[in-house]
Amino acid sequence: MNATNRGLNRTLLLVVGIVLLVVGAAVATAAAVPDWLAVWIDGVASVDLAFDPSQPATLAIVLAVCVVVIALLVVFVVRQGRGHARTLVHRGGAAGSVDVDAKVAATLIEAALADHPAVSSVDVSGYRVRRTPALKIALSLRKGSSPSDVRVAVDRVVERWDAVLGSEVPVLITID
Amino acid sequence: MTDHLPVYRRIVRREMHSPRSTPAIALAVAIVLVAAWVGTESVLHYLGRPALLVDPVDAFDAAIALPTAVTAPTLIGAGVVVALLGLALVLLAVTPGRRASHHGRTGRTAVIVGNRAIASALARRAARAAGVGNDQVVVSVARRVAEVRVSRSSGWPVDEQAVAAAVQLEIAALDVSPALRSTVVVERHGVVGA
Repeated sequence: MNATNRGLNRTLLLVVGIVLLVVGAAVATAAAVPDWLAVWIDGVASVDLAFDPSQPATLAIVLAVCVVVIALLVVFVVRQGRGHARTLVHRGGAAGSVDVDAKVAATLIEAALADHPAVSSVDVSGYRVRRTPALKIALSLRKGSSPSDVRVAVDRVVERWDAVLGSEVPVLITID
Repeated sequence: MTDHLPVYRRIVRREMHSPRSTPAIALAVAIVLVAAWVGTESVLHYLGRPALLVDPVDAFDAAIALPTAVTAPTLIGAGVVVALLGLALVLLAVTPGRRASHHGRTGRTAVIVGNRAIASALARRAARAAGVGNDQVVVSVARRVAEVRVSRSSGWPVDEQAVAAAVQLEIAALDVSPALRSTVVVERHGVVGA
């Protein structure tokens, strides 16, 4: 339920994958076909003439590219899994405002479900989905218990929570 | 609560598919390590200090000399390995990455049930209907089919229709999509002493 940019994940995999696929295939076929190998040898010879890696300017460019790549990818990795929300409901008025922390929901719902005979563990967490606060109730069931019975029980707990909160936030139940 | 429907649709669609975070992070970390190494070697070369592993100028010369210095079979082998790695990444990028789960009908809440939880519930139901122990029923749940295999105790008949009806009842109660079709197989040979 997090806000991970899945398109970006797949784009990175796709771009790097295509580069490796094309380079690998090119090396393998060029090495297999003598005429292509000659083209390769001529090609790298002209690169060798045009490009001097020992020049400080070249080293500076290489270093700059490395730093930019590292910075972008570190941001990319750090941004994975975002989207947790601490505040579930915010109500503001002239007299002041009230924030309801997602932890309140977590504590109440976990306590209400912990005693259910079919439930072996509960974890409730708050998320923000398209700017809407939402709850995820993750349940593990004991072997053989019916997910449909548990869902009915969870729905009842959620309705009680709705009454406490005074509004209905979206709730996802995952049953494993 | 119809106003939550778009949110529920998005949540369920996302939760039913892999975000591909693990391979993407692994790939990003690998590229960061390589870039950090190349950057460090460049600085060391500029400062005139000895290289950590390979001097960048030597590496460049080696890359230029690659088609002449390395034998063709080695180049072909290396190229194929790199291409296969690339193909694996492309497949990760373009395949849907469905998780082994089903989603229930959305009401006040949305629900996603793992295939293992479904299989476990069906197994319990089937075992009770067949009058056998829980360990005599094996259920496998795929995207559209739930297969229930019952091995009967030797000398005791199993009412296959009762088992099928019990399984069907549980599937109807779950009401998941993609919808599940069930097949019940009672093994011919009984289990002795079970």
